[in-house]
Amino acid sequence: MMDLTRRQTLAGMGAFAAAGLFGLPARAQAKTLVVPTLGGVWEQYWRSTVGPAFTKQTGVAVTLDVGNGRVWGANLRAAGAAKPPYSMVMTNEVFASGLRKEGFFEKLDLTKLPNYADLYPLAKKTDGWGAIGAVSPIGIGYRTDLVKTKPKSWKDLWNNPEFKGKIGLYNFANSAGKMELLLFSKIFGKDQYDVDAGFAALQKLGSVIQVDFNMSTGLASGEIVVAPFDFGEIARLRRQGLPVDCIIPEEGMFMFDQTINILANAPEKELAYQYANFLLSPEVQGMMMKEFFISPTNSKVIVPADLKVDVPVSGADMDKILTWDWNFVNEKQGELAERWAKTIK
Amino acid sequence: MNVPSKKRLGPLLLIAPAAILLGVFLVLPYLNIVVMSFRMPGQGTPYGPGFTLGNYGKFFSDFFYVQQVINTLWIGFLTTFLCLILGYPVAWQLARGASAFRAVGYALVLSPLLVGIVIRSYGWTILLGNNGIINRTLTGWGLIDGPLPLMYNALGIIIALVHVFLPFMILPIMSAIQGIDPSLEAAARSLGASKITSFRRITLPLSLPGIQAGCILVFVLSLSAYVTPSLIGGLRVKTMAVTVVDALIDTFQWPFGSALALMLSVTGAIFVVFFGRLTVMKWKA
Repeated sequence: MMDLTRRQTLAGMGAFAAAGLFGLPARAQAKTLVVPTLGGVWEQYWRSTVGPAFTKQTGVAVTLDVGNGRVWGANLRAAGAAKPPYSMVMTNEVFASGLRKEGFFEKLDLTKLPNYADLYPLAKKTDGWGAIGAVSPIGIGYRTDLVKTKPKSWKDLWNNPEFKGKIGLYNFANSAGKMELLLFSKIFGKDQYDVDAGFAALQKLGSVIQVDFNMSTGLASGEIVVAPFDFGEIARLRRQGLPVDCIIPEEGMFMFDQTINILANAPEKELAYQYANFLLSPEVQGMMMKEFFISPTNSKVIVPADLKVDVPVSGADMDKILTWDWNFVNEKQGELAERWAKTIK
Repeated sequence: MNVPSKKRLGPLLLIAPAAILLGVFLVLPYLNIVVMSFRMPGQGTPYGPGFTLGNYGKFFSDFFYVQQVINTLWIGFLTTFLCLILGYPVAWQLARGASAFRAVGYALVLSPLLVGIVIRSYGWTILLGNNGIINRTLTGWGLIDGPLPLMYNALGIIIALVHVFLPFMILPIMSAIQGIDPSLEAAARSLGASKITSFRRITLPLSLPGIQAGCILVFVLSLSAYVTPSLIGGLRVKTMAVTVVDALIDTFQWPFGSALALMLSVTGAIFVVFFGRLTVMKWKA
């Protein structure tokens, strides 16, 4: 902690060289990068594999900060943009875009991110402010043993009586919940902004089972038979022997995206860029694909034939994933959250 | 402030560490919350410039939020009442029962506290769910057609909260009963009082301090419970703790969230004070 302030002060005085001295190998303490990571299987994998691989490649030690976009956002806002606790954040674009607007991040210095050039257009939609490091496309997941008529479209949630009372939805706090609202607004109304239509549709859906982050438990117990699901999660459940499958709905799919952002006043900016480039590299993208069945955003990664079932979306299909106007959601967040709370039963 | 004499310095020094700890980690953050609750809501920021009463206005003008306070208090009352009814006999048995039972009983009472609250709540979801053990069994026996609504409602939350908070009711009552001289009850019996009368006139009034402590503990814990209502209520039942977290963490409305949190603690405190008064009056009567 002391170290950080000292370094920041020195950097502020333009004494980068002097600051560099503190990081010389002669000093017992190696350089450390604080890496925010999701919990559960993500934390385990980061602790066992990704962190050590980065340390091996660069000699930089990694400290994990387990949380989620909302928690990191709260931590950053509590600390302020001038003294952020993190140097980089990889989180859902909905959270990232809010923080970006508040001045926490800097425009990416692409000279330090050679791998950025190989990303799919989908991963570069933030105009050079962030790069998507992981995509988990979201379609409809369902229990093959508890559902007779396989879903084909989002509208089936309303039209198939088998689903009544057993539909899982992410709550509005979750980025997927926000996307549910925008998607249903788009399907039943004029466009994503037509939230009146979206809420009316949600009202019509009747009783649903809302979850914040853990849809799998409900699907495993049979409380939920159908829900928006990311394909990687379905692949994991299927490999655990659960009778589940997923489909790409006719109206389109959305995604859990993980945008990599660099803090403008990062305590360890150089390391953050090194780490960001490491995450975007074909090797790490391939590792994450094998571990979490995410769709790699680096176009150099080819999905092998035996993974096609678990990673159904890749290559040119990547750009078919729907994207949303997060500024609209973030500006109206309080109002939309309240309407959601009053609508969904 | 006059300089404290040597005599008074001793106690002051003794409470200084606790006072500093409370001041820094409780009073200051609390004041911060109070200030925050009067700030302007921000657009894309946690709070805006300037001050306002609007956050409280929003709370009182929208019955949606008042209703949530009522819901939360109601769940707290029922949980407290059930814990008292279920806990008192256990506490009496632990205090007065055979010593062999006492050790086992004590371990059983404490056992729920040894398992994390998340795990306990998930355990209840396995039992109470629409596809859970209870509903599946009853449907299998042909006793019911559809699942009984045991979860995603206040009933499920109360069942789980009672389970979680029962030890907090039992332990204070147990120590209160242990403090009652058994010869008092024996004297009452020898003067011709029935068992029920001696319980009503001697044991119950003397154990009131324990009841009071247990009830206040359970009530306050129920009001602030977050994990159980969010997991068992399936986000359908709106309790204040869940809504406050929503406002603070999920929608970054720090001023409004602070106002909500204060409304909850103020109403909770009013009831606790009222209850404290009530039991003291009864006790003296």
